[in-house]
Amino acid sequence: MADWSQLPRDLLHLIAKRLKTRIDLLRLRSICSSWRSSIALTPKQHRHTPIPTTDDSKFILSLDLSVHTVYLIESQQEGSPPKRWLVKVFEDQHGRMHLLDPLSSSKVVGFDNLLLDLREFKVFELCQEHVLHRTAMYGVHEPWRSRPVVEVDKVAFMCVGPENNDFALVTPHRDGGGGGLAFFNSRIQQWITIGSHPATSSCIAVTHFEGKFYAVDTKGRTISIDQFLDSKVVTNLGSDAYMKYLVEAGGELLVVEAYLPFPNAEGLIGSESHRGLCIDYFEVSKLNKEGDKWVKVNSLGDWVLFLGIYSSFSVLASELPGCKGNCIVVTQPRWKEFNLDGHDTYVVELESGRSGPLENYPDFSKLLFPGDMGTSST
Amino acid sequence: MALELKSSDNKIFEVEELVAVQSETIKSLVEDGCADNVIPLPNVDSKTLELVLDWCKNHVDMKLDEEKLKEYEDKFIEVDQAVLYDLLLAANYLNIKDLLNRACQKVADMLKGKTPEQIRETLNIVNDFSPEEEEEIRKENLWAFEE
Repeated sequence: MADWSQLPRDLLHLIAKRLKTRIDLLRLRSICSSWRSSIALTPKQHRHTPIPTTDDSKFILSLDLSVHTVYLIESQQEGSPPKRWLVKVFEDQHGRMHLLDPLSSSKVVGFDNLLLDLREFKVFELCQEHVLHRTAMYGVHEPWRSRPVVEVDKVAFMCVGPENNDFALVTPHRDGGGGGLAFFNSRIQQWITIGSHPATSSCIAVTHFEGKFYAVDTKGRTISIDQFLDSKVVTNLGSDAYMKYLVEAGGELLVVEAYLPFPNAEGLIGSESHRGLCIDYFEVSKLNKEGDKWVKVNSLGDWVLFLGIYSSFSVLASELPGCKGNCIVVTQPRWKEFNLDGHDTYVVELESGRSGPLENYPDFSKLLFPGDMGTSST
Repeated sequence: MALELKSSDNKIFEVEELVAVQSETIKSLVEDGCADNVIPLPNVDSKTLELVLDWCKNHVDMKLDEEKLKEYEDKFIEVDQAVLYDLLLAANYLNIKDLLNRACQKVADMLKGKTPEQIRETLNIVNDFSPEEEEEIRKENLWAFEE
């Protein structure tokens, strides 16, 4: 009779090595006493990492790299079909867990003590999003602005080094960087400016794909950069798209271009006078095998793209109960009297071109945690 | 050259040396000149040994046909958890790297994403934690979201 609880420690380790995520290891530790004592809890990596700032940033008090993780969780109650949710989680440097909106990454509030015992769910880690929290003290000469301000920047992250203990970052240059990128290597502990384009363009999307960073700017220029700063140009997209997103789906790198109905329609985005999705249509292209050209894609097949503020991810519709493939879920800022007043999420069906607010697509809206789970504590 | 292997339940298997030395353990015995008589394998029963030898034989026969070999491996490893357990232990004891890797991967695939309760059910493991350990585990698996 096979007694798995007596599985020799080294065999258990061989199996554990094949489980990619920390959550899976935590599960093994929750099975029985002997397994628990055989598997050590690994410390979380790169949860919150201070990063040195550039030399000429007199106003920057601190720069920290944070990780947000997106999970697909499933709970099954007796006699009813399984329910699934997309959950984006941020664990801060004090170990406190924060629930974030999967697309805007803004903190979800308005619930009382939401507790999840992960043992009651199937948990699949989908992807990680990295952001830079920049605490700056502007307005040295303007006393009324003298409180520290925290800004969040999108950043692409890649593990480097023989043991993957080091990392590299690429982030679009802020304020006057002229559309270039800033590159950081944790071993060298210094920022390097690369690819400064004419000041008329700025980098709007960065991502990491198959060992390289990719960045695309407003003019549609795309470059790839590896950890040794070798760069390669990818043939242009046009410059008419209002927004571009980089996302991986099915082992391929995609770029999604969002077009507005007419020029200068940016002013309408999320404005009080014009609620609703301002984007007229999306075009999707994929990177060819040689990595030097974007090729138009007509359909996403079974994939659903979630296009967020800082990063994007993809999930197969077959993994999302009731949801159709070939759809895009995208978020748009909402403005109230010139202040950012949150985000609105829309679903776009690429085949028909139809779109609507998330509430019109209940199968999608109940996916985004807490969805229809309610706010009572478990 | 044929070798004779004896399972824990005293069944004798006659095997080609080329097939048997897929096991690093048996290979060392052959190289040390200890394989003239019957080689006893007290840690492997006949049922499991038969399966293991089938794996080894097919890995010799299909060495050059990667696709056919993969098809064979995928079918071979579709066994119930009790047989998988015996295969794991046998592959480890006999030091057959590719069988060990494949078996470990199969277990990992079986466990991925499952809840602890489902894993215990799948592998017939009893929850033997003390109340203190249960509380510790609950905390380890808890997401308590800050408002």
